[in-house]
Amino acid sequence: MTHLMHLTRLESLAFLRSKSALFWTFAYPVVLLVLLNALFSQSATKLNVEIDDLSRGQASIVKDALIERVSFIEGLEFAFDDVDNEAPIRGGTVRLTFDETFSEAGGNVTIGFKPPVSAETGSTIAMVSEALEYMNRTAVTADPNWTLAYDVTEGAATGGQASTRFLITGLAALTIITTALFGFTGVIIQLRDAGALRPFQIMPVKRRDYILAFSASRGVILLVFSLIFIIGANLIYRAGIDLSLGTLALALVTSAAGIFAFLGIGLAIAAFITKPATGQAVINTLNLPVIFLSDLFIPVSAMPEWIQSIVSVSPIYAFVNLLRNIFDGRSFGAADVQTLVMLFALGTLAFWIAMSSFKWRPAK
Amino acid sequence: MLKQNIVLPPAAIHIKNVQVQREAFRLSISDLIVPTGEYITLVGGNGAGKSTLIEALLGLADSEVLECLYPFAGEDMSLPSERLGTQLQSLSWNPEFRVADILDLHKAVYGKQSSEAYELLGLSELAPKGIGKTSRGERVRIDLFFAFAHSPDLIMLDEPSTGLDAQYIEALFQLIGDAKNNGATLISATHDPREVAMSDQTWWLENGTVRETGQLSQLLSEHLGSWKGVLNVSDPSSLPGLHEHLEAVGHFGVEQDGAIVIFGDEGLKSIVPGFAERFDLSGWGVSQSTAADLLRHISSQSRAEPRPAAGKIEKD
Repeated sequence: MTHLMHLTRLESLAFLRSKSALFWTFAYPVVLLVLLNALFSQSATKLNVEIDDLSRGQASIVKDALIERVSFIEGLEFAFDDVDNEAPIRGGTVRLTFDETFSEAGGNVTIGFKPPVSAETGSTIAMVSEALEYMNRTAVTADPNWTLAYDVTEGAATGGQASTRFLITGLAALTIITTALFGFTGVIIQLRDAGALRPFQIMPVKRRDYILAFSASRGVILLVFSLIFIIGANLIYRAGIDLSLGTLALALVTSAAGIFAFLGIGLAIAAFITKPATGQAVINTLNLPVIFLSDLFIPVSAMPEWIQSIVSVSPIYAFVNLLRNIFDGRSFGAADVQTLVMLFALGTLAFWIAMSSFKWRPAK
Repeated sequence: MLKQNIVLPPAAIHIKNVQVQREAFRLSISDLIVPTGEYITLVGGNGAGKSTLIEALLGLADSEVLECLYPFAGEDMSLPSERLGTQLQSLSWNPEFRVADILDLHKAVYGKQSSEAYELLGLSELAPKGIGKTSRGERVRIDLFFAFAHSPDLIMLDEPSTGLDAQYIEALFQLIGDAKNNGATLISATHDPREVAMSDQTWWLENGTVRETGQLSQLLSEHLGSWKGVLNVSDPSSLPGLHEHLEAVGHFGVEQDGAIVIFGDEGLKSIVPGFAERFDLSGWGVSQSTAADLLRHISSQSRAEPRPAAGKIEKD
């Protein structure tokens, strides 16, 4: 037991000293989050405004006034989008509905939005209000010619928040899968090829002990990282992720099950592949399907039905989906328990294969 | 092989049959005994099979056949890794490990650690270093610590003095001496004559087989002669005449560093001064042959094609 703990400590320190391992495990997901969030979430520099113009073109009075208000701020602009009155308000946008009587002489504008209000939405509302106020002041009449009404639509979150939350939890799950499956598998194959596992073969260290120490060191690091990643990203992006104690406990158990399953599969692969070039080829071959199955970049719902039926039984998709559901605050049901049992069973089988087939040295 | 009419101590290792095939090279060794408490040096040219034999004995060589018993381990007779110490040339560690970390692991795994070995090998200065930042000699010191620090019963070394400073070569000899005094069995592949001189037995490997085994004195006597004469020649033009004369009296000289070296029995003590007088040599000497002479002979034999018959005559 003592030397198992020493081995675990040794392997943890080795991992934490490796700059490339630190980058790919810790920094890369963060970089990816920033990039993807910038690509897919609502742009911070665009103030999205839906225009529902029943006044046959008179809305341009207010649109021009709004454009003028941000014209001197570099990088900030309005994005106007003509919409149908029946269409639901999209998250992260403000909808201005101009009634039929709206004209240069007066009229009513209804401003609609979905709470909670982001900084961009709040700014837009304030600027619309100020623009109408200015128009009323300069009209030199006793009563205000233009009036403003509010229409607050019920909604849990803005589209930006949901998209960011989707990315954060998805990236955390994908990092667990890819690092456990490929990152650590590659390390084992390379160490073995360089002869760096031979000292353990000569010493009274059992294969089982080494695999357990290696897995424990990497598993704990990955578990801690994924939680820090989710909590930190939630704070920075205000993604509205449910971080109650119950959720965190469930997420911990689910992450541990995922790490156990995918690390076990990775080690089982490493038990049979002894050449780094073959290992790299296998990793490259499996990497793309894993990314597809993660539902992160391409929605599974957009895939053909036959692919969806494959995805539905994939442990990768099941794990990503379960972790997302937990952080979305959805109730934990029997199907989720089944997923956990499946992950633990898969991990147990994979570790059994890894321990019985693991090789200290490259093939002859 | 030389016949040994001596009673050997109980076997530490009984090599019944070891067969290893590596591309065109084949190691084929059978029926050899490593007596308990003895220090055996493996000598031979590069590629003779010394390292492969050690790796095969440790189970690291993908042997086709490995029938080897370790009676010192008790009834089980399998290699007991907790009673084994090794230093291998081919051994490497994860470069991200620090020296201090693996020294801690050694203590945890074996449960004991010699502070003397730690001091002798100067490991305190290496402890903070990353393994990946150590030089070859420093890595040998670390590996030697792993070979000796837990006072194992069986120690296997692969060219342990390679890359070491003089200070640490002395430390190595002290560790070997201490291990022997404690009853350990040692097997060491070496090109270092001082190791051969210290050992109880030398196994001469050639082309993957053990060509000869015996004590140093036996091997010297069988292949070179127990004595050697050194004739310093000042006038190179006299060399052909000197060689001719040596052959006439049954000796062949080997030219080494501007001198001619001949091997023979104690009679050289009277023959060599006669040569010196007759050929007006600038200097001469007669002394007992050494392990360095044997290794030089073995090296020349491994280079020679086809292999000459063993005898007292050597010519480079």
